[in-house]
Amino acid sequence: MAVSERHQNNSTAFFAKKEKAAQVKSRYSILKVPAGKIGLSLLLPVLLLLSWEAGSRLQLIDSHLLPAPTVVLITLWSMAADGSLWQHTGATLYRMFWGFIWGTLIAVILGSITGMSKKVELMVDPLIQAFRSIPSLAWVPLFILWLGIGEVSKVTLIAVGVFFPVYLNVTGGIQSVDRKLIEVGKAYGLSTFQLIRRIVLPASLPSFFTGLRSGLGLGWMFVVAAELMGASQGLGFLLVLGQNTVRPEVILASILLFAVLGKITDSILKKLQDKALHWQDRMENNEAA
Amino acid sequence: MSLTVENVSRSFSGDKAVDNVSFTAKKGEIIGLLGTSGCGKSTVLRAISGLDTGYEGTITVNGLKSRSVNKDLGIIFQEPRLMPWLTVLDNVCFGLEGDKKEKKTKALKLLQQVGLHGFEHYYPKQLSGGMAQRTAIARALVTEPETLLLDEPFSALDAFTKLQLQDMLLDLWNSYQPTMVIVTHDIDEALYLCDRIIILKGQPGSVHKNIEINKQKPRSKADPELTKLKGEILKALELEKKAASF
Repeated sequence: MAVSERHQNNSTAFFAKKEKAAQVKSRYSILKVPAGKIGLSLLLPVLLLLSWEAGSRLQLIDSHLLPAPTVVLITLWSMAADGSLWQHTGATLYRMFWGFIWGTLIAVILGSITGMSKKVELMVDPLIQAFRSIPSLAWVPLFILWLGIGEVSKVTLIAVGVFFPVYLNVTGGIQSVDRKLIEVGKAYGLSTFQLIRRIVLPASLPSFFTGLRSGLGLGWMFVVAAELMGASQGLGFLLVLGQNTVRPEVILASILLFAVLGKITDSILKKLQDKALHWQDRMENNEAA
Repeated sequence: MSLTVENVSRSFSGDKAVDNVSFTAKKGEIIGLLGTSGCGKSTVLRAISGLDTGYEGTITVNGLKSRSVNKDLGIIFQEPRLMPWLTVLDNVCFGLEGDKKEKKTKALKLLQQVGLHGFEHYYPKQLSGGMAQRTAIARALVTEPETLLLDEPFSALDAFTKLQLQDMLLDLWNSYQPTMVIVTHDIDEALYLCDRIIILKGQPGSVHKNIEINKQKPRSKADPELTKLKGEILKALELEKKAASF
């Protein structure tokens, strides 16, 4: 009756072959680019751009209000040529970078403490929730009053924007770590510090990344707000400049740059996320299989 | 005497779940804690493991009173409870300390024994239920604990995998000779694996019967003596009438 050891090993080897075959298959299917799908999703944007361009050229659209896409591109080109493009983009990226770093740093520290300790959570969380319900743009006048019109007030505003989503996700991530996994660590006699390092941190990493990405999105929103109010450079300043000099092509160029930068920074985070969380059993990870 | 449980009781918010449970396990003995659901089997096991310290009574492991988790104890839960961010190999190494190379050699040897050779770089999400539980068994055994606690280790697996893993467990027991306490609600499993079956019954649960089985392992599942014992156990659990009427 007993199933022999040899039987077992045979069946395991069989499993191994099957699973390896499945893996190889999935690896190839990623490489196959579904050309039809890409064409389909490009169809509408291309049509829109073409009719916009045609409308402008045939003077159907008032080009003083909505210049043609080519005009926007030419504006970008000349800005790149005279160097102002890099200056403004650089200023915005600089503010974004430091705002993001500071907001994330403070959020991670505070979030881990409130996530770990029920007492601290009871003490600190209501206050943070109250602050969260203030529309963050309402801080702008105060920050300018306190910190001046320079970089510090802008970076602070961005940091405030980044802080809340990261904080909420770090706290939530830590609190939702599977009790059963923690018990495994306890069964091996791990100390609290070891439990945090070896179980709590890796287990709450997915939630942390979710927070980072929504924090980044809010950060981009706040950088616009910060630069709309009193800046002498930056993409937000370009928006104001375009408005004041009645040059919609400058506004559109700036909007386009915001879109591109937002997309690039988010895909960097997404890459990092996929690398760090490849072990996750998620729908997205299994798509190719 | 390797493990002694003396007058252990446990209440949860005033309600007694386990009442005065006592038994002893000799070194290398396989003990089965058998009972219907809700009779406190797992509660007793958690008390022995040291994960739950809110009990009354005394538990002695290797002659020492134990009230906390103990390096001499290994635990296998009903679910594999693997760290999803670690590979099979790193999961097995989880409880090991010391030199990296040494850890790896030990883990690889156990992975070979549980039939997972070649799977060391897989992540838990890529494993079937049986493979995941094999990994968990390897993780518990790699520290070479003198006592192994198993909380319904095979109840979440399909019937075939269950039979395979029961045999594997006996093989591992042959090579490491740990004392084992298995919580189970499967009478066949208890009869197949255990040297002694302790039947818990009632609410709060208490020891109803302590049956010793002196029979060489591996045993045949069709053994008439075991079949007779099964009848006795069913009767003891007052399940026979119900079983007959099905």
